Amino acid sequence: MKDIYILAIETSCDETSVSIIKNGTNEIGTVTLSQMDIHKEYGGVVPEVASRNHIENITLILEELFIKTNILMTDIDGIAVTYGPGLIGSLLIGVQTAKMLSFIFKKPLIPVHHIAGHIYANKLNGDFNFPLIALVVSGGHTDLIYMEEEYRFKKIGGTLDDAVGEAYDKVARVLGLGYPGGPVIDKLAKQGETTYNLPYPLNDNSYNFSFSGIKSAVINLINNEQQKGNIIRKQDLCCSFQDRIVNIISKKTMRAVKKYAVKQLIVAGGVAANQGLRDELIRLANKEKIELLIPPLKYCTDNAAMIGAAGYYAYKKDIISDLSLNAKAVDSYYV
Amino acid sequence: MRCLFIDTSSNYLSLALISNGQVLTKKVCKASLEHSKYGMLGIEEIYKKTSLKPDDIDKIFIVNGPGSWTGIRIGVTLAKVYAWALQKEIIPVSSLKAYALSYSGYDYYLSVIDARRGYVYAGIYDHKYEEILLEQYISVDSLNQKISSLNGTILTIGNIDVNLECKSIEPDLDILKIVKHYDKKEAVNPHLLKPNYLKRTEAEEKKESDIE
Repeated sequence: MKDIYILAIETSCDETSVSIIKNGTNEIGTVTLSQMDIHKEYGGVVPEVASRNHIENITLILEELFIKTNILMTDIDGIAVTYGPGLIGSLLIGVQTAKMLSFIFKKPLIPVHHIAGHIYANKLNGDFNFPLIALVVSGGHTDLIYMEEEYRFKKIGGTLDDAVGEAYDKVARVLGLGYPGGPVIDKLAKQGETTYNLPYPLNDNSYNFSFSGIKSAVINLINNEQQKGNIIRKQDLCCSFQDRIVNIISKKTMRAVKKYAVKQLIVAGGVAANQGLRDELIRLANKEKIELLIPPLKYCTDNAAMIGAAGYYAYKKDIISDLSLNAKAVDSYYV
Repeated sequence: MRCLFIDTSSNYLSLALISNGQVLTKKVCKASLEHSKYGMLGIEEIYKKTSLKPDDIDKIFIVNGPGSWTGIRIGVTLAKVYAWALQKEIIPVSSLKAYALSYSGYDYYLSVIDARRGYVYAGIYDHKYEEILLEQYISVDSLNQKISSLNGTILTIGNIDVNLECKSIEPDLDILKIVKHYDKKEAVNPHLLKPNYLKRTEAEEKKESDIE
């Protein structure tokens, strides 16, 4: 069988990333330019600044990718691009780039949902065992997805307000820990104990999540303690916060795993890099004897390799767009 | 010599394929903030009409601003990816100067684009189309002062809804004349081509003022 090469482009937030993936699983090369250091100065991603950086970097990283991989545009079978959800101004740069390349080289244009990309990041270091449950945890999502076959997604639950990564960032901000908040809280949590009593976030029978309540509880707690003249024990507060978050996510995930009688649990998204969450999911998966797949850290954050992996399976299912493809900021559906 | 002209800086999408001083095909349509969808479709359409292939052209003229930030980013991305991928020459064109170049018979041309909140992007050109007021982001009041100091006939071009001293006409681009004028300019490296915003982002301005 002929090898299929997918060129992938991802510009949904603050990473300009391009990649070439062979047969959906083999990463030939990826070039990513992170704007993290630029946005750090603003305490979060500034959409207009992100778009301005994407447009200056896009052809440079494409050139570097082709030099690095020694692959020619004529070797490429399809061009995959993140069309949404994400920051509209950022998404547009990737979408226009993909459309122009598709036009001049007459290559199929493959629209990829950002979350499908996160899920398919797992193809770069393992294989799927259907049916499965995918837990997607990132700065923009906290979703539970049921998959019966390749590239078919059924959302069974999601966040009703803040995404889990967003809650981490906001809590980190009030604690003065900087941006992004996840890695710092994760680190401090390991040094602390669960001495602060925080509410369980949406502890019900659904597969939905809500993190705005616990975020407000943390902010109120800090204000109250400061008024009383008490010093905030940051390690303990991080530990108490992370304990509740990890607990509710793994609890609802494991319930979905049992209810849907799946063979595998896969984890995806930037918060999959959280050690506290990884450890708990590994422990529970062992206990319940369920196969668990978590991508290596480099595939957890936004990258084009995952878009190339997803793009291959979309291509196999003939999910091809014409040149009218537009970027979509809001999360409408999974293709 | 064949070339492609792209302008997505305003509500209008303007595209043209030009060969040896003749417009082969042109597409001008209202695409109010839908350049993301119609820009690429329009380019595909004009190539189909002429049966030219993307590699058949020598040069791309791209209007890189000022104007709608999202609009110019769409055109500039399409143009720079094209120029980079097929090693074509690329020449950035000012939207304001393009307005002026489309007309003749006046002493001065004032080009204006609405930048909201009492501000515009503006440039003033003399009868030889030399820039006498540097393209800038300027308040309507300051611009009115500049206008009152000019002696001679003035044509104001721009699709604006602000209180200017002189009435403006809606721009109708003379693409051939614009291309002829810019043809003498030097091509730029596609990697270095970027939009001409004429204004920093609010976040950058705020950061600057916080430091001060």
